[in-house]
Amino acid sequence: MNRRSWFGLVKLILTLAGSAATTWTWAQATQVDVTSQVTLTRSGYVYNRSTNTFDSTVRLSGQATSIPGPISYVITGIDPASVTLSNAAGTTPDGKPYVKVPVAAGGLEAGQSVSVVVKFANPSREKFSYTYQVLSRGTDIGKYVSFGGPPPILAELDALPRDPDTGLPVLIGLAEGSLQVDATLRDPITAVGACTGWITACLKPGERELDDCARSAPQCATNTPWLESSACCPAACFAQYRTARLAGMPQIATLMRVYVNDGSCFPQYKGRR
Amino acid sequence: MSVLFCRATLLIWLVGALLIPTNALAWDSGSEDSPGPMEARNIWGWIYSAGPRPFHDNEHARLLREAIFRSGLPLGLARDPSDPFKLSVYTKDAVVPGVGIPTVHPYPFLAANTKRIRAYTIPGFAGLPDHSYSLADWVAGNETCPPGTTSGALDTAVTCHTFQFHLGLLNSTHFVPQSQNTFIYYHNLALTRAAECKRLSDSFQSSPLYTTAKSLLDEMSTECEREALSLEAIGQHFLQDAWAIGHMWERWGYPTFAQFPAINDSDRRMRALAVGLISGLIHGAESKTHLPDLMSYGHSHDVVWEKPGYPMQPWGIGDLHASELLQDPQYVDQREFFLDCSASSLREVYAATGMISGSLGAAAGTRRNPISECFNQRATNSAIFRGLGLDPLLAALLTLIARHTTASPYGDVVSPALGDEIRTDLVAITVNAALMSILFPSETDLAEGGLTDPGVFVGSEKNSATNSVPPASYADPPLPWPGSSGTGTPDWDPARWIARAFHKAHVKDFCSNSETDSATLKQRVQGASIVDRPIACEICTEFVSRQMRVNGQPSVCEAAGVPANSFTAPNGVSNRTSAAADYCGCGSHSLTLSIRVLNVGTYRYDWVGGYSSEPMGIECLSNDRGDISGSCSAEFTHGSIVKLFSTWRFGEACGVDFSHMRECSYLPPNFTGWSGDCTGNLSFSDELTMDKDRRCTATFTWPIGTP
Repeated sequence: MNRRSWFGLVKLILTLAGSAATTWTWAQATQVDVTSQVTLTRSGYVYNRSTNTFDSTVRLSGQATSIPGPISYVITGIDPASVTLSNAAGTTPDGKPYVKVPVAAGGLEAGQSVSVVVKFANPSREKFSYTYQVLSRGTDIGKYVSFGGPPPILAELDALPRDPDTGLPVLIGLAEGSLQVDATLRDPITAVGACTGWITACLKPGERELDDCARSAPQCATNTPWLESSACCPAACFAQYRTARLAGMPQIATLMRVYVNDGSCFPQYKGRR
Repeated sequence: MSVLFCRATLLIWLVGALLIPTNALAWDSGSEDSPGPMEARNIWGWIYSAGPRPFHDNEHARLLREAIFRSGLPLGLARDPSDPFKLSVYTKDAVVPGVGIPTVHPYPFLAANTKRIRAYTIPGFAGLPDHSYSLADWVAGNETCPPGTTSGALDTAVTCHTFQFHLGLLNSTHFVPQSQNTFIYYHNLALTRAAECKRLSDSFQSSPLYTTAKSLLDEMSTECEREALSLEAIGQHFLQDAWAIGHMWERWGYPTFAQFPAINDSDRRMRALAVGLISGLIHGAESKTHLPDLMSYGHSHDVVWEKPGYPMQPWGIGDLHASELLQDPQYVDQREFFLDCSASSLREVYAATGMISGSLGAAAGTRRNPISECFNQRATNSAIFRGLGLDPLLAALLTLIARHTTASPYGDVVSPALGDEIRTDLVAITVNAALMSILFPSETDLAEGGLTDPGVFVGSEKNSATNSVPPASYADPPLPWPGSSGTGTPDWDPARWIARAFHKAHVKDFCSNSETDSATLKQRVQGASIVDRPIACEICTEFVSRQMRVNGQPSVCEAAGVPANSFTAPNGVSNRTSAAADYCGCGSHSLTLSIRVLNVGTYRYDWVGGYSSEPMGIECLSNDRGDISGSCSAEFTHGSIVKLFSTWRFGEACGVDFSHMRECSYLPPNFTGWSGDCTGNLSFSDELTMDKDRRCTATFTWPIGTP
């Protein structure tokens, strides 16, 4: 990659990272997506003559951290649309049907498993499939706040002296070596940097508290957040953060542990030793 | 403070970093064109500087000079590099391997064959720890690498003294709290030595010899006092650092490479480098960028320090800004507390000596306990974050690239695992610093080792974790020097090296030491080659003269309190040096210098001219009217080579008040020439072989028409 195109990529990455101001629908609700925090197995469909439905047993198992209840199993889409959920306990604010997951008041503990049956009405007896989401409606930490994200840092990087060998901007150097800015890096560590960069930039005491910022950070859409086009935080991170905060852990210590030192909520991130 | 502001902080820092070359120094070392052995030949005080020559000081020297003025110490102890103290060091006529300059390494007296003059000032020694590992290291000319300062087999005396290796990687002792323990160690060395100096001068003054050999004995006592104050000056470097805001926090790392946990030497070097770079990033790199640094530059409500019991959080300032510290009213709190600490400590040491260098005057300011009151100031969280100047995303994008240069000959490569470890830890530091500075800007958690949890960065502990007294194994050895334990080795014997260099101060030690045994010294003269004989004679005469009784008076050694080994000069020999030279088989001859000033008018000028000799002995001065003062005649060992060097001083109108220096002009007379046994020019005479008594005259003539 020549220098011009390389730096163009740098600009793209940093511009996108710096302009992350998305408002996330899920964050506006009182529910938190904890799908990635559970291991979920679905049985095949069994036709139930008495109810004239196609039933499937869904088994949810808690992973490393507990998930506060109540917990909902939300059917986010059915294909074809003629198939419907017949045992819905209600719908989410955006109209998705859900069933309640039978957990104790404390929620789903790590390693604990529970099952719930979903019943689908399929009058045409067509082949169908559905997508789902597991939502926790436990006590929330913080409030949603609107924040446009940190500003880009492109101009400053462009002005740094370049290493003649690598072509990278040199931040600080000694005879033995230097720290250089490789803005093409995209890996789990940059994902942590982008996420925590968003949260720390958001923090403004009296206006936007740390809990608010952790809660309001844009949610990653994939399991490779470093490849996403803008700064985001995995949903699992806030879920862990919330759990720890609810357990009484101080906010800075919680953020450092969940998002940086342990960091298990970030896919493939090894954390600090 | 929002992180929008943090990004603004980053902007300022990056603009400040524009001029950093890839091989930049990170800290304010001043010039280091020729690190290592060459640099040790400079007079401390003309290096590590931030002003125009010739009257600039390095910052450490300037601060110590200010403290001397405040402390009430004799002003002569604050003398600047234009008039340094000198040490006569016996060494070997050889060059430093790989460097090609003459060695100054103190050599055993029984084997030395040449002599070098080492110039130094006490304020200048406050800058020493940025260029040498210890006083012994400087005495040895930075020609060896102290234990623990090499990172592998390819290191040399140059690379191990390169500023970037030393300060960049091993300067944990320059940051609190290791700086406190380093200061304590050197301050105690100074006090111990000062007490020994007092015992020496008391012993001299109670001896009958003092009435006839006062200047000789006082010369030994004052060299002892200067040695004690040199140790204090080195210790004060660390006190001064503790009062630079860029050093008011616990950095990670260690004073020796061996302490860095690593899987191999290369990994160790890279870890030390990463720790040094990030520490430097927080401290600042203004010495190279010449642009305001975010932390040391100060001038910000965010850059403040906290001190328990102190009623406010004053603005802080640091390296390269000593002028503002000393003059800007904004920094009065930092200035006054620091100078009080520094002056109190100096006064404590000098008061413990016999004060032969001059009486102790009244002190200005407030007396402080330098150990308990002067090291607990810390930069606030807001100051630390400002110094770091990163945000988490940028921290994650940083990659350590090793370089292969003459200063770093190893060709290291940073492993992917280590690179990830560095980036991960950097993100952690940055997130933590951002949060703490925003939520608790006035607290000092970050400076007190809280930048990382659990105080480890890239495998290195915060420096309080290994804070012994002294923290660095290469610190100067415990007294007494040279000591009798024999712990030193030919390659590393710092106690003996220092004692050899300050051999007049250590007169007692060398009165009963195998290295200066009179019979052995004499034997060496007898076996010396023609080339080596002059120095062999000089050494023998120097030490034997201390043991020689003349005119029914005790010897110098007896006057010093060492009764053994003295002997009486033959009847009729009344000169101690002549008697010693005769004993050694060398003899001596006198050199007498006259200074003539012609065409003297009625007007008084400030000019005072004259000549001093090398070897030392003659210090002959004339004022503008030809009135002679000082020592114009001296004995020199048979066969020695003598050279006379021009000296000058300011006259009465100029005094010693440097503030008058610019206003003080003088009109020197013309140098007419040498006569007698000397030839040469105004600046110096040609070399003169002392194979007989010699007489020389230097003539000066005022221009015709001079009032």
